[in-house]
Amino acid sequence: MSPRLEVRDITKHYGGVQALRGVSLQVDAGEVLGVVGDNGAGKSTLLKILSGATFPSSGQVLLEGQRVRFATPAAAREAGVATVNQDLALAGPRDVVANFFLGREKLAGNWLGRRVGWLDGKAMAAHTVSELARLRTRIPDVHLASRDLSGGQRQALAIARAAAWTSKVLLLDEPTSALGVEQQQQVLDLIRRVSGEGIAVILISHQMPDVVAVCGRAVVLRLGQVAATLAGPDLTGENLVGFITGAMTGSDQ
Amino acid sequence: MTTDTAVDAPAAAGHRGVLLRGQALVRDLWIAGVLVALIVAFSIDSPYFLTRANWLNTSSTATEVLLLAVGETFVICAAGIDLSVGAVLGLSGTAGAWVMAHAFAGPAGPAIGVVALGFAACVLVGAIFGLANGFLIAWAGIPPFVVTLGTLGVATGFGYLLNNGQEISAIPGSVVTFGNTNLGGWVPVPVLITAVIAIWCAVVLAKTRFGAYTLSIGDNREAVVRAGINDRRYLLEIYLLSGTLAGVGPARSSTWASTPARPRSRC
Repeated sequence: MSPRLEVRDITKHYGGVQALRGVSLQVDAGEVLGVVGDNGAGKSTLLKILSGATFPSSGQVLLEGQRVRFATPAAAREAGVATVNQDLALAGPRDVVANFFLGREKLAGNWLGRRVGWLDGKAMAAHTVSELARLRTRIPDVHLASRDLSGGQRQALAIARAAAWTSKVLLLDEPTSALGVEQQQQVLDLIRRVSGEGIAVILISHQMPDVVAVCGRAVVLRLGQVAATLAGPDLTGENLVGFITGAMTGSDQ
Repeated sequence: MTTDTAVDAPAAAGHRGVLLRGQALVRDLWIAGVLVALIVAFSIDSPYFLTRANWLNTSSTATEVLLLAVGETFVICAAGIDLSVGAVLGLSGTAGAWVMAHAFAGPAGPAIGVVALGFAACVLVGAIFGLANGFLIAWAGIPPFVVTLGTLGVATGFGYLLNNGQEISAIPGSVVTFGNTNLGGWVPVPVLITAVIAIWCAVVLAKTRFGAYTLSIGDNREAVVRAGINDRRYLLEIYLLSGTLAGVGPARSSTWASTPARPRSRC
């Protein structure tokens, strides 16, 4: 069976700058793959390519064995690859329901609903509550403005939204970097639950303990190439840092 | 472990949610209290304030401003600004009067047809300016402040050009009768129409997808774009609404007074 998402020999150059020099990786359904690397290693470029924000210069992206080429983030999302960026893309003063359904609002089923775009507020609120409960996120009231939520709750809302609207691949960019310790744990629990539902998760992070805690495998990028792929007992914070800095080199595993 | 407590957390957290919502309500509604305070203060200050004559006068005068404010509400909620509405209101009034005067002087049909033509001209001029604003802002990517400052000047200039800055007075007398009609002696027809428009727009903003996107574009346009929403289409519609309502304003006033033909805003 082909992996959920596969990247084959991707390169990307911006003018003379070579951001990615032939990166290959794959992630299966229900797996959490960590992607780590120092600043400038190519993490963000890889994320941009996978999320549809830019095209690779060469190489292929395969989704469930099919070659794909996303023109926009919306196209990527339609195909089943959702991204949660660091800025979360929440409309602060709008409530949790409005943010959860942004771009996919439910309309009242009657003539009025279709004609004037009348929102079915009750159904949207009920659906939001049940989705958030299913992923066991702690949000006190779905009618609160998202800016009145804590940082961890906002992150949880963004992840839950992306997870609710995708069934295939979830890309997370630094989901725990701005959070307190307890909130980090809640977000990591949420990531485990999302992958437990059969979604392939790619976690881009600078937080080595997080990567070790939730990822089955981790890919270390260095200078635009895969420096190492670590799994099992080899997946330790020490090894990750070693390959990131270049103190350790050598073949995979 | 946090995971297990999270399930029954909403019950405990419910109180905090209600509290926060109450605070948000106060945050949104305090300005209504200011209005009530003003009404009370002026009523105590003057015996003429809380009278039927004053109500008819102030409510009729307020309709134009209210229509502009309703349109501008959508624009500002979408994090824009429409500086041109005042000038567009003046121009569309002039254009409506100009059309009525020419149709009236010519071999036109009954007065009601002339009036309808004038109304249509008012609204059309407003809509055209709204479309121009929306197109330049959404597709050309020019900041709303710059675009609408420009169209403010354009509208003012056209207003003067239309009749060399003179007032237009050759308007059918029947337009006055319509605007002066009161329902029950308390509700002038233009006030009723304006109230219906304002309430409808409030409902649209709060309860429909168009309103939801207007608010979301204003709060985080990038999030709207990433959600796959055609933000440009909605921006165009928002400025179209603002321009059209600016065109409806004088359509009312030209029924109320037969000399609306003065551009009200100047550069």
